[in-house]
Amino acid sequence: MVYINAISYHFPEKSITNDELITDFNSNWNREKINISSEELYKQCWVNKRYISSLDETAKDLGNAAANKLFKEWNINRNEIEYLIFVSDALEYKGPTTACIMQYDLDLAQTCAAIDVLHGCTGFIYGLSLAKALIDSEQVKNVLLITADVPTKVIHPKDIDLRAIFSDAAAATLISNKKITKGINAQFNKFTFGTDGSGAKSLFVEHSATKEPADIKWLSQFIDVPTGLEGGRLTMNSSKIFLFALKKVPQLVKDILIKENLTFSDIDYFVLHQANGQMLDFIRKKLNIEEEKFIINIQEIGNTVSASIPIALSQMFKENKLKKGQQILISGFGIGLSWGGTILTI
Amino acid sequence: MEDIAAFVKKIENEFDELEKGTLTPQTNYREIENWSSMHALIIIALIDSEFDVLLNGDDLKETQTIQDLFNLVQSKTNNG
Repeated sequence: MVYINAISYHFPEKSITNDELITDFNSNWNREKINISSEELYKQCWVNKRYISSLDETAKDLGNAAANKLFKEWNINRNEIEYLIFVSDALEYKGPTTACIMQYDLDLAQTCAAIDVLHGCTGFIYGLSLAKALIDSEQVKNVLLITADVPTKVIHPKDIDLRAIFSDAAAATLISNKKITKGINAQFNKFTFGTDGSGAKSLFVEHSATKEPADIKWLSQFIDVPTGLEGGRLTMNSSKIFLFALKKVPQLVKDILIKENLTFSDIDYFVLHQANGQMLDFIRKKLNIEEEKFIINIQEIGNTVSASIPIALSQMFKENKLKKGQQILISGFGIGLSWGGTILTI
Repeated sequence: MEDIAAFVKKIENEFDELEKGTLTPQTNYREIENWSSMHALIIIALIDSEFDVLLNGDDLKETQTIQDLFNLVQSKTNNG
């Protein structure tokens, strides 16, 4: 069998409230004189607070912090990790693999494998599916899955809608072939996936890598931006993403249920990627799911990309919401466009 | 801009619960079964992504049928 045994997460030190965000926006970046209040900002996405990494802090750094917490909080021996999967849209270099550097940072055994998976909002699902395949096929016993992202680094400060939603964070998840004592110990089974590359530009980090790399002319536009947008600039076609989410996610949820021969009433909790609270609530209404069964924890966290699902699961575990025998549907969706999910059995 | 038939089909396509061929230009879109504010948002998002026209709630209030919506979008794209 394969189990999610433990999850820990880490946020950067700095967070910013809606009031603080609007004050900064109005005093420095609101050249088009947009009139927006904290309440309106909240209504658009249900976020009160989001986390922002410091300029020299990367997804790897947040990921390392989450992994060290995992070892400590769950009393896990780092020497037993045989495979490290680092999922992020914010890798350190084009070479070497960020996970290789993390093997050294985290003092993992030199017999440990290390790969990166370049994925965003569906990243946790992808990481889990790979971990399961590795363990099912008896290649390894313990996989450390680190999902981390720093979307705030690729957001222009004038893009208030993006600043309102996105947040930096990391989660570390231990997946093993055996349960651990006092662990989450959630089993999981079949995965459902989907991809639509025609929507690549709907959520896109322009001038971020090999194709159209950032040149001096492009970068010179952003001299006044703290990050300089040196790692690219995130653009989002909100309408396209909204239509995508409202069309694909309900279908995805149904497909996941069909694959496991389950119905809505068999599921105790639905834990979807925390993209945008208002949009999640639309999806919930479309699927006729009760509020109590549908997790929305974005309010004080923001959209943490590939870390959002494990953070939600970890919080649920800490709040004693997870009980033996429960079935929990998880699904990620977003940049790619990409979507996927599975069902956990506690 | 495309013709009204294609416009009707696009709206129908976004509302999964609708059977194909149910909508016509004369359909009062608010009378679609289980109409809600979510459907209004879907229509706004569809028109924004397809025609680059961002309607607001007041714009929608002026319209009843899908033909009205089509005319509104057309007038806004022509002016643009």
